[in-house]
Formats: sequence, C-alpha cells, structure tokens
Amino acid sequence: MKKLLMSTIALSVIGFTGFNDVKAAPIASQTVTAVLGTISSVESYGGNVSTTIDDTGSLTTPLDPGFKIISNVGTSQALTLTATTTSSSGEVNAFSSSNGNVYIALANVNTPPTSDAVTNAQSDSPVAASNPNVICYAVTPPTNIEGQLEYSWNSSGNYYDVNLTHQGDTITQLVVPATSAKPNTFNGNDESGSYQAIVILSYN
Amino acid sequence: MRKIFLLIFIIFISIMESNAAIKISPSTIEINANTTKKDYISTAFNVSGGINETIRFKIYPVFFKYDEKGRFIELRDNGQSDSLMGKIKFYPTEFTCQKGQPQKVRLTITGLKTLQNGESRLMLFLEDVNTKEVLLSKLNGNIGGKILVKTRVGVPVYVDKGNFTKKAQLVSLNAREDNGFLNCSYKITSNGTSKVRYNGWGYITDNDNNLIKKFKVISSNLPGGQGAYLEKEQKIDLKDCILNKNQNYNLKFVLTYKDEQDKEKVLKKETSFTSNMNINQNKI
Repeated sequence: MKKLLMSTIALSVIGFTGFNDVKAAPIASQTVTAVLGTISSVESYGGNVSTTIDDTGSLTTPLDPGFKIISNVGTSQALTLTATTTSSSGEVNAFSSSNGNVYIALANVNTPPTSDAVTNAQSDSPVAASNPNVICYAVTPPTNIEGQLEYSWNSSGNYYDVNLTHQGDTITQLVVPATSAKPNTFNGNDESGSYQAIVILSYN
Repeated sequence: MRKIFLLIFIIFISIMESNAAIKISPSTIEINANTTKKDYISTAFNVSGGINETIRFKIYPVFFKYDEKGRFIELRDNGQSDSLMGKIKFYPTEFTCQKGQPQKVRLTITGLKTLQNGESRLMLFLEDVNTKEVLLSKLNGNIGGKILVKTRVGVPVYVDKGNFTKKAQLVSLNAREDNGFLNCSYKITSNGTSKVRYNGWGYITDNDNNLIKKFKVISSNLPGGQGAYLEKEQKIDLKDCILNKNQNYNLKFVLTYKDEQDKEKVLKKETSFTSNMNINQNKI
C-alpha cells in the first residue's frame, strides 16, 4: 500500500513536471499594428437653416449653419466657403460684396430670378424693379479661431478662403443675422414662396 | 393625422440635412509613376458618411493650384502640361453610403507615358448631392428663407514621373513681438519639379542661447515649379515665456522635407526680435 502510494506520488510529480515543461515553452510575442491613415472630414453641424421673411423683408430669425472640420494631419489645409443660388439660367454665386459688406442672395425656388436680376441685387446700387425674386442679406464676417482657423474674403472670386491650421476637430459657423434686406432688393416684385441659397464648405 | 405625419417627415428630412458628413481617407493620393512599366497605375481611397445617415455622393475632377498663401485656386482645364484632367478614370462616380459604412473609390491614371517629367495633379471632389428641398407652409403671407448646407471634400491626386526633383529654400524669416504674441513670417521657395511637404520646429532663445520656447511650425505643401513660393505667418503665444522689455531674443526655424530620393533635407534660418514689453516678469 505504501509502495502504491509512493508510486502514485512519484508519477504525479513526473506528470506535473512534464506538464510544466510544456507550459514553460519560450515566450512568443506578436506585434499588433493598426495603421491609421490621414483623414479629411467635414460635416454640417447644426445651426438654424430655415426662417421666415416678414412683410418688411427682414429675416425673423438668424440663419447660422455650422460645420465641423476634422483633420488628423498637422499640416495647414486650404478650405473654401462658397454659396450658390439658382437663377433661371442655372446656378450662380450667391456671395457678393458691396460697400464693405458681404451679402448672400436668396432666390425664389418656385420662380427663379434671371441671372441679371441676381447681378443687379448684388451690385452697389440695386434697383428694386430690376431684381424680382432675389433678396440679399448681409453676412456677419466669420469668426477666426486663433491658431486654428482663419478666414479671408476672396474679392476676385467672391467667396471665403479658409486656412485650417488645427489638428483635431474645429467648429465654425456662417451667420446671417436677423436683419433687414439689403436696400432695394426686397419689394412687392418678390413673389411669395421659399427663397434659398446653398452654402458649401469645401475641404480642398 | 396626415398633418402630424407631414410634420414628422419634415423634421426627419431636416435632421437628414443637418448631419451631412463626408470623411475621406487617405486625404491625399501621391503616386510615383516610376514604380511601374505599364502605361497606367491604380490606387484607391475610402469615403464614408455620417454614422446615422444615408448620404449620396458624386465625384468629379477639377484642375487646381495652390497660390503663394496656400489658398486653393480652381483652374479651367486648358490641357495644361501638369494637369491630369482627361487621364483619370474612377469608379464609382456616384454612390450611396449608409450609416457610416465606407465605400472604396478606385482610380486609375492612364497615359503615364504622355505625362510630363515632374509633377502632374488634379483634385477629385466628393460632394453630397442629397440637398432635398423642404417647402414649409407660410403663415400670414410671409415668405420663407432657407439655407441648404452642403459639404465637399477634395482629394488631391499627384503623380510624379521621370527625373522629378524636390528642392526648397527657406529664404527669409522675420519676427515681431506684439502684445504678448510673436508674429513669425517666413518665405520658402521651391525650384524643383515636384511639390515639397515640410515640417519643422521653431526655437526662441535668449542671447546666451538658453531655450525659452520650442514650438511646432505649421507645416504646409510648397508647390513645385520655377518661381514657386509660399509666404506664411504664424502667431506664437508667449504667455508661458518670461521676456524682458527692450531685450533682444533669437528665433530659429529648422524645417525638414523629403527630397526626390526620400532623403531628409534640413532648412535653417535665424532672426532676432526685441520684446516690446515685460512678459510674465512676476513669475520670476
């Protein structure tokens, strides 16, 4: 009985030792690598994009579409903020500048204005009778973010150049305040309906 | 009941519009045409929309350049020798992404043998086409104003071919302290046939060469070509520095870029400036 017990213990020790030998194999390691490529991303980011126009031509609430720009590259990036609206002959630039202000033109969706009417509304001295179905509103100069985002008005192309120098998320916004229309761009010639423009933030 | 459904539909469409997103990776395509003997070369990039949206994209090419301030300039295609217009095929040209799922866009540059030596380029723009109009009923005869929001992302595509060169020079560096900020301006020129992407560091030291601040220079792409240059500015916050009024300090830029052999090149420039005010003297 004693011999049997001793044999069992001996076999167990050998067995465990053998088992441990298997467990004590050289440590293997594997490097796990995940490659993150460069990313450019832009998305619309809330803000009010719809309002009404009262009987005097004023916007009743501001329009303030927002954008979120994402970059994981520590390189300065060129973006542009442009706007278009629809004339009877196709898309035209909705941004314009006159007398030191930047304006955005909203055109009637149901009865688009002629491109001449848009040009007249965007001029320094619009004539009310010459710009039916297009109304211009002043735009608040977009806010620069120190060390992240800088806007500059491109007077030859009538759009904003945007210089992004920030790695990460950057939020920006275009604001059309609830103010009266540019003089002589709103009057009884403007038919009821929906007036609109398209604002495009482009990552170039 | 129908009005409630209509209201829900309008809210749903408004939410769809307000989340339009485009994400591209990689953000730049750079191809060395010398790596193939074929007359074409292919690559791909990924596009995705927002996680909670279904978004339709269209893709179209545009010829472009960056000006001396790094601003994007769209150019009319006149068959310029450094343009890839007419030499690119991509698929799909329009597609729908659902719930952030990525879509691979494959592109092939053809006619490599007809490309000029040096760099050729174009920009592939991806734009959301889903700007559905929402016509709201007007009360009291009012008319409605609306801004539709669109997003667009460009993927610059560059092809280098033949004996292209990447050569840059840091020709000037100026610094001026103004109200606790250091305004740095520099000019960097390029006379290679391919663009240069540079990175670097700026160092502010005193006259005993003690380091006061080290900061990262915001990198940029410098176009290739005769007479190409960039004039950049960078504003450095000095609130974490201690400077004495009327004392001279030094600013040094050390920029690096990879040349056509993928070897690192170093550009250095140094200048001095005078602090116009005591900054953080109470921290001494």
